[in-house]
Amino acid sequence: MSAAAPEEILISERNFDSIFSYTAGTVRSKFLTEIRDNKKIVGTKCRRCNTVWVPARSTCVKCFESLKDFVEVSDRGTVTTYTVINVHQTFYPMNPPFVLAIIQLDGADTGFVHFIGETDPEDIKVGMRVSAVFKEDRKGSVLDIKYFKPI
Amino acid sequence: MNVNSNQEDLLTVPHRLTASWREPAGVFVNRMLLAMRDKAELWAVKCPICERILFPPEIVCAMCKVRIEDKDENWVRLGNEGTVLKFYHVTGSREVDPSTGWHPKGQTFNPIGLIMPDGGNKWTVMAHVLEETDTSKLYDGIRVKAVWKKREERQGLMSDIKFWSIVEVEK
Repeated sequence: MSAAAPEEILISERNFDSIFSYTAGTVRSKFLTEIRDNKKIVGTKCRRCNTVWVPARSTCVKCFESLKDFVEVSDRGTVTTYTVINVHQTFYPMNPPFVLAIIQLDGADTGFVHFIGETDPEDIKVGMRVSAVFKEDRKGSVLDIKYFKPI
Repeated sequence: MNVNSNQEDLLTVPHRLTASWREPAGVFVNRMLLAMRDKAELWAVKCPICERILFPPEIVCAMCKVRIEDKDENWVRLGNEGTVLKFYHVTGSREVDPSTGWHPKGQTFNPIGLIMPDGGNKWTVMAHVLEETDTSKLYDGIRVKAVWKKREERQGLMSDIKFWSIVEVEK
């Protein structure tokens, strides 16, 4: 029964598809409803280390403080890094190619992941200034921000 | 700014995750599946140290932590008949799958047997489908026989065995 000749290799095709939802919690809900209702981006500020976290989160990752103080940050920021997506996945909200970037908003200490639009991927540079473009029909999702566009 | 405790402003975030990939079974299981597809035979491997007979075959014995070499003497042909050690039967309506909305309406389930094929030892147990849906006719220790699909329908899957049917034992 051991191998005498090269054997055929069976390959199984696997497909995983999971549709689910999770509750955002009080802090992330506040972050999302501020975008939906007021077109404002808010973060939470740590009382101990003064880090402003955007998107707002309930615990400081650096010192494990509970974060209760919301601060509004600008809808403008700086591209920290970016990548161009060329391969489609079912759960992407748009068709490739598109650009995902980490944007540090003015007043925030952390990066915020979002798309960059209204420009060619070749023209994007680290350090470029961008501003948020909000959708007209907002539903309480981080995608209520359509993308960030160059200033 | 404070956290808004209004219940209506607590949001849920919808998500969808998908992944597609292709997966080989590995040297031993690949050969086992080829034998099932091409010859309708069940092959297991035997650990040379502890002599456990493993189906599906494993490349390393989990108890002795030794590599089971790909040699003829380490392969064991199992019989086409076996003994049901235990069985279970899922009955009644199941809930709607919350992620897909799928509901097995009208679907009947066969009992699943933990089957020890002939030629194995007490470590050789496979879970597979039993033909008999009337569990009053089943008992621990009942003899069963593998019913294979036709050659052209076999694909190198565990489902190449259609089910295991009861062997009538003459008294």
